[in-house]
Order: sequence, then structure tokens, then C-alpha cells
Amino acid sequence: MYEWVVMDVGELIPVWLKDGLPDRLEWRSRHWLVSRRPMPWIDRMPWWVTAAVDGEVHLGEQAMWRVQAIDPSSGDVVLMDLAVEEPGWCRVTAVIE
Amino acid sequence: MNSAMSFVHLHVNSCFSNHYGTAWPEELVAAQSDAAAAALTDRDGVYGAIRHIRACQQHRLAPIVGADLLMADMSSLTVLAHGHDHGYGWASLSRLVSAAHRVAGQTRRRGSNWRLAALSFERVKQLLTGGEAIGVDLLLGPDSDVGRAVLSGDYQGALDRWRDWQRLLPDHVHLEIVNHYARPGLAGSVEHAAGLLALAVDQGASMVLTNAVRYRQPADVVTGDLLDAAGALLPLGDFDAQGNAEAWLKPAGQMRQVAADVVAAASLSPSVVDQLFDQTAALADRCLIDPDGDLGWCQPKVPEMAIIGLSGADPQAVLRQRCWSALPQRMPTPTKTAKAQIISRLDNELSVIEGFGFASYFLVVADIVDTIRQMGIRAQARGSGAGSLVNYLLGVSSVDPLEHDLLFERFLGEQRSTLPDIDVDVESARRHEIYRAITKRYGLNRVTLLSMHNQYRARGAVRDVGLALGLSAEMIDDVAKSLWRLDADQIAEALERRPELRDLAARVRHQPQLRLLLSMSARLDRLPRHLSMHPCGVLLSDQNLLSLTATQPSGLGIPMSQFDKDDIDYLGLLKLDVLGVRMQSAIAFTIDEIERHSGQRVDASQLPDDDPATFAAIASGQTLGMFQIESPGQRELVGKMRPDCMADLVADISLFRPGPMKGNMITPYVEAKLGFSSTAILHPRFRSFLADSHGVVIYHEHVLRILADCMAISLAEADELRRRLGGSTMGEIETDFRRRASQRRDQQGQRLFTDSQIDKIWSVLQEFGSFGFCKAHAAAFAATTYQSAWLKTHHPVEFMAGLLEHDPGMYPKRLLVAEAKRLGIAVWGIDANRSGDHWRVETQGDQRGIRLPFTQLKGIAQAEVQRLIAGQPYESIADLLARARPHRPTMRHLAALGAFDQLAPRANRAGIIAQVRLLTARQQLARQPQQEALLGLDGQTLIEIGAGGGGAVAEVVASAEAPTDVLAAELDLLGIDVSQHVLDPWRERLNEWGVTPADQLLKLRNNSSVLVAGMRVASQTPPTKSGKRVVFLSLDDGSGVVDCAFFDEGQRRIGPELFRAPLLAVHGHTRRTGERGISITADLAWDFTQQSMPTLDD
Repeated sequence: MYEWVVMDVGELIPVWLKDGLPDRLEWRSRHWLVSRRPMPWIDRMPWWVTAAVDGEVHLGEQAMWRVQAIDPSSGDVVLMDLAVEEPGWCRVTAVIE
Repeated sequence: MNSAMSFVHLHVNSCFSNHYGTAWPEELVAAQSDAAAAALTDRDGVYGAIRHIRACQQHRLAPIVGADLLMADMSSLTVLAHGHDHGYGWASLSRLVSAAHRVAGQTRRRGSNWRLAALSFERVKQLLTGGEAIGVDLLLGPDSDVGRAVLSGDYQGALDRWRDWQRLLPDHVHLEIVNHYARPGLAGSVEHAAGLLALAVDQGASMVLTNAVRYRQPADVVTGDLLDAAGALLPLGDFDAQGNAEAWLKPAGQMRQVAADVVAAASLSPSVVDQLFDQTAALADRCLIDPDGDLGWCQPKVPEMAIIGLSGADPQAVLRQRCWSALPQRMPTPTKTAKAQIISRLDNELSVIEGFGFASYFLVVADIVDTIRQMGIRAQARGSGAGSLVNYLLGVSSVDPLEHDLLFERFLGEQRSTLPDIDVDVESARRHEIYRAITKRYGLNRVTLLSMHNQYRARGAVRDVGLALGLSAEMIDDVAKSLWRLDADQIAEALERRPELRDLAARVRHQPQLRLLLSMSARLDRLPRHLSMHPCGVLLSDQNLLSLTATQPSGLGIPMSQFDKDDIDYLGLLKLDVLGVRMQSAIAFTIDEIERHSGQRVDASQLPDDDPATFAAIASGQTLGMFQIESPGQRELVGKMRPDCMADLVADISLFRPGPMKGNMITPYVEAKLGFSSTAILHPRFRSFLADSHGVVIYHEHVLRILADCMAISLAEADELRRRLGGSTMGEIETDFRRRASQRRDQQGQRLFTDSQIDKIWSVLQEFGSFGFCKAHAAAFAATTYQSAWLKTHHPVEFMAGLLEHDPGMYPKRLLVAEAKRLGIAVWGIDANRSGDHWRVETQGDQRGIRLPFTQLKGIAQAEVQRLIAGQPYESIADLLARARPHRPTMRHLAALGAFDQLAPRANRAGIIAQVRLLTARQQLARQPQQEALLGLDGQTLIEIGAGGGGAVAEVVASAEAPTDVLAAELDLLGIDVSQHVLDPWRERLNEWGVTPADQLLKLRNNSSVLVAGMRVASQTPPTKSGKRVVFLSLDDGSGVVDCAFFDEGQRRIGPELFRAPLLAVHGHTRRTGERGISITADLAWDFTQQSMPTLDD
């Protein structure tokens, strides 16, 4: 379906919403405009990884956005997964080409 | 249905979707109680359907039933049955589900959680079209062929598949929109759901919204993960686990959001959300099951009379006629009063049976029992059915209910509307023959077997969770082995309390992984694991059985129903428990062996029931092998009680149960029986019916009579009350009881029961609670107990052979061999010319003994046994090898066990073993002529092995076993110590320690300090009066069995060896339990093969 390109991701970036959906974002010092309707999805932590260490089960679901954005100045298009962390901020968890 | 306010989940999997669903149907229904309806759509089955319907009735919800079926292309299809159509929809669903289990050719597997994939589009077409209606609706969801095409971006393919379905079943297929917010690109993502929705809108297709539910609440996702791992046989992390925890029973409000996100993603108008809700509600309306109209809820469905040759006859008239005509034969010479009693009893029973319309049911049961007996198979009704005179006259039961004062009302009261249970014990070895005969007589459309779900208990849960968590095999094995007969949710408590688990408990405190293993295992507790055949249930109904129950193969060639025993009453099916009882087989075997040797046929049902020798044998406590009275506790009880008549045996069997033990009913009975205490009868009016138990209230039948007499109610009403004793309505019953009893007056107007008498009677009833035992059941058991005791007393050789053949009891075969030897019966090992494929009684000169069969040898193949028998007699070992061609290990094992000793009479065992090794090595060495020449075998001659005998020969001899290893070989290869007792090699050490043999214990005084030793033959934790755990270990030392009780302190001292070590020495004190009874209260025990005697510090 998609080719996953491993990039150095994990940074926290500012994201601006419109009608509750990501609309603009700033990533790697560039401004990006969301160019397709973002898809909401929900990820979770594999509880069995941490449970093996302390014997406790921590369930954590994570609200995510699959976002396609364009840098109008260069015409570059990027597809990325954003984890919603706090108002106005998301963590980039994957960048897909 | 108001679709804006509510939402019906049409696609819900319960834990009856094995290794998938996590919640019970009842829990799921309870969580939907504010919806209008609740659906259950388990994988490949309707296993939970009846429970689901019952739960829906309880919560006043309309039930919907369907199933998820796997198609041959591995896509899936959700089927929902229509309702309110006289069962047409239910029948269509049942047929589809059954067909999904009928596989021609190969099946595909996916891990251990493989599912049959039998249904093709064509098969669905055959099954659903051509009838007067379709009967079901189909959901095509994310995993359907259409859904998969959408996921892979193949829009044209999706369209083609959709059109195929639409053409096949116009208006009966729906696109199922599921949004689990899965990662984009995966099934269940918003994107995927939007793709299906767009197709639906584009094609004007019907579309419904579901959440493809597999758990009740998000936290249950963990259980789902564990089950996924168990299903995939892979640790978590090694396969694609669920992406998140969204597949739960979301309330209507959240489902609107789920739909809105899909609609938005598909760029459709928000009004499509309402359309989705409306169409979902409309489909739900079409699929509401009407239990009465569709399933004939609780309505008995009995085979048509034509099947038993009574076409057109009035079943009531036939039943009456059969009972009356059996009277002279079954009850030959009654007194005048007895005759009047019989007649009124029979009239009463027949009119109750007719009132319920059950006459045909009784005739069918009688027909089946006749069928079994005509096959020459022993059959004995058990349970409350033995309380019916009609059953006795029909030959269904062989216990005369009047003789034992058994009550019909306990079996069939006036309140009962479902078919009563009649259980028949038959010879276990011929059980399958019976199933086939019943099926042949009644036809495959009226008979199925019953199924049952095996459930997770501690051990299985630990194994599967350990695998899921990726723990080492050793760690899992270690923990699993120490959890013995535990439910998974009892593990934590057991760790705290049980001394044998203290090592494990200590490790759990320090190892988070172990802690996790045990806490996760509790999540799987009692979840259904896999379906298997019920050990004894046969279902019958009229010719529409297969429209009522889905079936699947049982492995016997007769299908089994997907419903279990708790479902049957609601469906009105006739369930007959044809229970294979090994003791029945052992008795049949014994009778055949007696006939083979003496030419005389014993009729076990016609034995005199007052044989003093038999009762003396029972009272001696040497009851090993006797039905129901051979456990350590029972041996103690019979030794104490010394039964001397059938009534005592009936009482004994009834008393030895958790209720009477906790209620302390045993002591009063024994004391009254032995005349130690005068019988203080509860009330003079009860004297007549309490005489059978020396005045002690033991039986349900007693309680019925007391309630009926005190309250002036019928016995049938009394039985209804009895069933409620000990329940939540106890207070109401007491008030009613006291009021009515105090109102009872005799002819002079005097009160029948004083207040203090009422107090006393009520306290007995209260204590009795719902415990106690059905006397009819005990009387049926006691008949078999007596027969087995009689046979052991008068035909011990044949009887012990029968026990060894069919292994009916709780003890290992090696103990039965020890018991036979204790009785002076010779037990001979396997002999090439004398053994067969069964244990046999054999005569040598004037000695009669028991011969081991070839089949007792571990690992021997059935074909080898047959060849060995066919070739008998053999002249030499070489002759046997040439003609019977056993495998090399079999040859060597037989040699080690002495089976060839008689074929080479001049050789010793070591020599024979060496010879056999050579003979069998010869086949390997055949291509080496120089070695062959060296052997020069004639089979009779033991080979002389010279100094330069050649490499292969020397090797063989060097490894030949010494005769002293015979015992080890026997234990290893037979599991039985035949030539000597397993303790014999240790006798010297044990004697030095001053160990007392079991048969010498009775000479000791009570509370003597004593040391005993033996091989463990049973470990039990029976119910106790205090509720504290007592562990009973029974040890056999060749002279008898000694029972050792471990209380708290004893358990603490022995620790992990408690359930582990096979050979134990026990230090303790004697406890006299009666004239012939003694047991040991243990304070210390140890494995005497590993450890010398510890110092006794107190």
C-alpha cells in the first residue's frame, strides 16, 4: 500500500487546527499546508513490552492523524503520522512517501 | 425503534468464538440493556445462542442471532437469521452453520486457531435459494470478499463481487461499515470504511453500521491479545496484534461519531449518518427472534410414534397398557395392602405423565433402553428417574421404587414443564455402539450427540499466557505443573495458602514476569477453549431436529449439536444421558469370564440382596474395586458403619457427599446404626419413613415427606419447596412452614406439631438446605455397589481381571495388581504364548491367576498385538520374530519383561535379552555376512559368547540388563510391578527404620507414633466439615493401603513433595476410625529413595 521510508522522526511540531482537523503545520523549519482531509486513527502501546519489565499492564491508546501536506514554496508533498500530544502540538511518528 | 436515540449492535462475538471473543453472552447482553435488541454472531457457530436469548429475555431485549462464517477463499460472511417466521430463518441459519463444518477435501489451518473454511459462494447459493424464502440476511464487511477488494484498491473487483451477491440474494445483502480507527491502509480504518460506504451509496446498496464487537469494554483488549497469541501459537510481538482497543460495545452516541468520521472521510452529506442508523435499525427489526414462535421455546419435541412402531396409536393408551401388563412379572406377589398401594401409585404416575403429555417421551426412553438391552449390553437407569414406578415397569430402571420408598414427585412434579432427565448407565466399552444403534433406529434427522465446551483452567491458561508473553518453555512448564486442579482465578489465593506452592509464591514476589504470567492467566479463567463431545449426552427430537440445531462432526460419524446440556430444556429436546460406566463393563467382563471358566452364567440383577459374606467384605473396609466405596474416605466410612443391608449401602452412598459431611449427618447415622445412641426420631409422625435411615434425615425424599406432612401440601409442591431451600427465599419458606405446621390438627382438634417441635424440625430442614441426596439416585448406585462387592467376594479372580481390563476406579492398575496378590491371586506377566489382547483368567494346575495382555505394554501397536496373537503358539523366539514381526523396541521390551522366558526355558533373562538384541540387531547387520555367521541362531540355544566375539556382539552383551532390573523394566514398560512389589528393593532400609506394614497397623493402639511407607496411589482433598483443606495421601506397601491425612502443619512440613514424590515415608500417629479402620495423621513425610530418615524434633 505505502512504502515506508525510515526517516529521523519523533520531533514535536506545532500544528494548527481548523474545524478540529489539522490544517497547517511547521516541520523541519518549513511551513506545510494540509492538502487532503486528514484521517483519524488510533494507535496503542504494546503493553507486553513494558509489562515484561515491571509486571504491570499499562494500556495506552493514542489518537493519531494521517496527514498529507504540501510545502507551497517548493511543491514538496509529505505524508505523515502525527500523534496528538497536547493542544497545538503533535509528535511526528512516521513519514511516508 | 427510534434510531436516533438507540443503536443495535448487529455484529457481536462472544467468548464462544474460541480464541477470539472475550466476554460471555450474558455480560454482553447486560451491557446493552438500554438498546432495543441485542445480537450474537459467533464464529462458525451458534454455541452461545440459547444463553444469549435467555439473557435477552431477562433484560427485556429482543434477541438477534447469527454467525460469522469463514468462506473457502478465507473471506468472511456474517449471517443473521430472520425471526417471526415460524423458525424458517433459524433453520436457514442452522443449515448454513452446519454446512460450514462439513468439509470435503483439505482444510486450511491458521495457527492453532484454525477454522474450517468450507463454504463457497455456490454452496451458499444451494442452501439459501430454491426454498420458499431466504430466511437470512448477509453482511458483507471489511473481511468479506467485497471488503477486501475495496481495501486493495480494486474498485471494479469489489463492484463485481457485490453484484454477484446482490443477484444471488436481492435485498438480503448489506454492506457492513466498520470503523475501528485502524491505521490507515488496514482493514477497519476510516479510509477502508469510507471506501465501502462510497460503494454502497454509489450502488444504492443497503448499508449497515456495526462495530464488529469482540469485547465488552476497552480494557478487555488485553484478554483479546492473549487469545490471539494462543490462536496464532506465537508470542505477542511476533504477529500482527490488534491495532487498538476500539472493538467494544460502544454506546449509541459514540457510534454516531464513528459513523460521522466515515461519512466525512467519504465526503458524503452528514445525512448519510442517519441513513446508516435507519438501515441498521430496519435490518435489526427484520431479525428479531421470537423464541416461542421460532424455536418452540421449552416445548417438548419427541420423536414421532411411527419410529417406534406405534404409528397412529395413542401414546397414553400404549403406556398404560404396557405398565399394567408388566405388573405381574415385575412385582409378582404383593400383599393385599401392597397391591392397593401399587395400583394407586401407578394411577397417579400415569395421570401426571398424561397431564404433561409426556407419554410418548416415556415410550421412547423405554424403546431406547430395550434397544440397548437387546444388544446384550448392561444398562441401569440412574438419578431421580429410578423413583418412578412407570420407569420400573417399562424396564428403564431396575430398582423397585416401592421397596426403597422412592418418590415419583422427586422425578416429575406437577410444576415441571420441561422433559425430565432420565440417565442410563451402560458399559463404557460399548457406548459408541449404542450411539450408532440409536442413530440407526431413529435416523440422522432426529439424533445428534451433545457437545460441551472445554474451558480454560489454571494449567491451560498458564501455558497459553506463557506462550503469549514469550516466556521460556521451562518456566511455563514449571509453573503449569505445580498448578493442580485449579481454576485460573484461584491461583493468587492458592499461592498464599498452599504449602506445596510456597517456592513458587516466593519466586512470584521477586519476578515480575511470573507475576504477570499469573495475573494474566486469571483473565482466561473458564473461557471456552475448544468444543468437544459431551461424554454421554444423546439428543433426540422429531424430524425437524436439524432445523433447530446446527451440528458439526464429532469424530464418531454422528454429528454433535452445537448446543450444550444447559440449552436443551429451552429447545424442548429430549436428552438422554447414556453414560459409559467402566464398572458396568468390568461387571459384564467378570460375568463372561465366570461363564468361560465354569459354564455358569451369573445374573447380577437377581443376586440375593442379603448375602452375609458380601456385607462382611464391605464392612472389613477392604473395598478396593467396589463401586463408589473404594476411596480412602469411603473405606473409612464403611469400616466405621459396617453396613449389613441394602438400606445401609444406600445411606452410605448418600452420606459420603459434601452436604451431609458439612452438615455432620454421618456421626448420628453411624451411632444410631450401631446402637450407640438411641434413635431420637424428629417426630413420631415421621417414624415410618425415617426408619430406613435410623431416624436421620438424609434424603430428598425425607425432606419431601416432612414438608408435605407439616404443611399439608402435596409431595409435588413439597419438591418445589425443597428446590428453593437454602436459596434467597428461605425467609418466606420459613414463615409459611411455621404458619401451616402450627395450624395442623388431629381429629380431636389437637395440634399435630408443638412450637418446640416445629423449631426442631425447621432447624433440621434449614441445616439440610439444598444438600442431601436423591435416594432414587443412591439406590440405583447401591445396586451396582452391591453387585461389584458380591462378585469380588465370590469370584475374586474374575472380578479383579475385570477391574484390570476396564480400569473403573480411582486407583492405578498397579494397586489393583497388589490387591489381587493380597487376595492370594497369582498375577502372571506377559507371555508370548499365553497373553492375548485382554486381561484373562488363566488356570495353571490347580492355581487360578490373571494373565497380563500384550496391550498393557506401553507403545505396542494394535497391529503388532494382532499379529502376535494370530501367530500363537510359537516354538522359539526366532519363530516369533519371523512370523509375528514385532518392531525392534517391542521385541526388546517383551524380552525385558520375560515374555519369552517360556520360549527359552534353559536360558536366564539376561541371556534372552542378549539373544533378542542380537536377533533384532541381525536385521540391521544383515549386510555384514561375517557377523551373521557368528550368530548361528536356532532360537533355542543361548549363544555362547567367546572372548573374541566381535564388536557388535560385545556391545550388545555389555548393555544387556541384569535380572535385578526387571522391576524397573516392569514399572517403565507396564506401569505395573508384576514380579515383585515396588517397595521390595527398599525393604531392608525400611525395616531398619522400623516401618510398620499396612496390615499390621490394626494391632496398634489409637494415637501410637508410627512410621509407614509406600507408593502413592491416590491424592485427594475431600470436602471437610470445617472447610479447611486436608490432603489425603494413600500409600500402598504390598500388604495393603494406608491412608495418611495431612493437616495444615503436615502440609507445611512436606512442602512441594506433597503432590510430587511417588515413593514416600510418613511419620505420624494412628487414628482409629472404627473396629476395622485405622489411618495416619501425618506430621512428616519425605521421599525415602532420596533422603534418609530426618530427625524428628518433636
